[in-house]
Amino acid sequence: MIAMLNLFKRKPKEPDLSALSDPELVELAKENKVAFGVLYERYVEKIYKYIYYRTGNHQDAEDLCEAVFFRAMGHIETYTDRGLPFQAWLYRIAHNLVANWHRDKGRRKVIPLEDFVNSGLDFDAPDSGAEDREEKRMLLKALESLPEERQQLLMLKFISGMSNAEIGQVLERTEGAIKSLYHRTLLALREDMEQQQANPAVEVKEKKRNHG
Amino acid sequence: MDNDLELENLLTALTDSALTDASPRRLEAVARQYAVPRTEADGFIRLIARLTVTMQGARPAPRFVQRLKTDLAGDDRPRDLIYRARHLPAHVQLAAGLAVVVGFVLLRRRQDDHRRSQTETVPVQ
Repeated sequence: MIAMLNLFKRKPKEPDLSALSDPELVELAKENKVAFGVLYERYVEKIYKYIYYRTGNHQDAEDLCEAVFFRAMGHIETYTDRGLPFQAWLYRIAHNLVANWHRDKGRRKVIPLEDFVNSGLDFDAPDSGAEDREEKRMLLKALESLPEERQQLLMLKFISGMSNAEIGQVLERTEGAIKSLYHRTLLALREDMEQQQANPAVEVKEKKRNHG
Repeated sequence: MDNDLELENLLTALTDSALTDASPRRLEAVARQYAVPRTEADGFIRLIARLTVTMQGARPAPRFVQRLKTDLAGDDRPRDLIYRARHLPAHVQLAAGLAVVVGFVLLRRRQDDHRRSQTETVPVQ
């Protein structure tokens, strides 16, 4: 009878947790799963994208993303913001898990070229010219040849939309060092693309070799 | 040295701006605020705009996002009366079903009795 009466009980309104800041939510999340759910919703897409671009497929990205949030939830009681914001802490967990994944599988750390091309389909609309497409192809090739840390920097900047200070917290560098590294990364990309433009013959040979 | 610093600041500002609005007009307006030669800035504007367009996509599947949230924090979707009734124990559901049927029969019988009593009380002249 009581169970049936509970059917008609009006549930008390829960406070709007989404308006709270990360540190406030983290404190609540130590005892309240719903608060952790809000943090999860805030970062799941960013973390997923980061992992996806470092693993190259959706299945592994889902598995690792799940592992990141379960690990974060399991350790949130011991987490204290000692100069490392919650977001950077999540990225560190993701970074470590992806590194372990690469080590265990013995896989190369690559950015999936095809997926980059697919994700930019809008850019390849019929009205964008062959020159644009060629420039994009060169950019993708230049991105692939960057060292891992620089690829990671670009991912955190463009995919996660993080500031230099936030990236510094993830990569354990100062804001100034990140600013400088970003400058060098863009220069390297530009030089690589210029070289590709200057030596199209090499490109054609490589294409032929790749296509058998 | 100062030139490098100015260029680094410009690149950061251009990227921050491009992430919200990558239109050439917006980026050129940002570039004008820094003492960097126009020819040098133009090359970076094009590169940053291209990176903004290229490095996106690969969103997680909504079903995955919802399932993981349920696993982590429980299901917080709004619950209506039918949903809550369906998740009651079987014996409570059975009792509730019986109560509804018995209630309906009693109500019907009462209506019939009322109707019959009305026809019986009509005075015969």
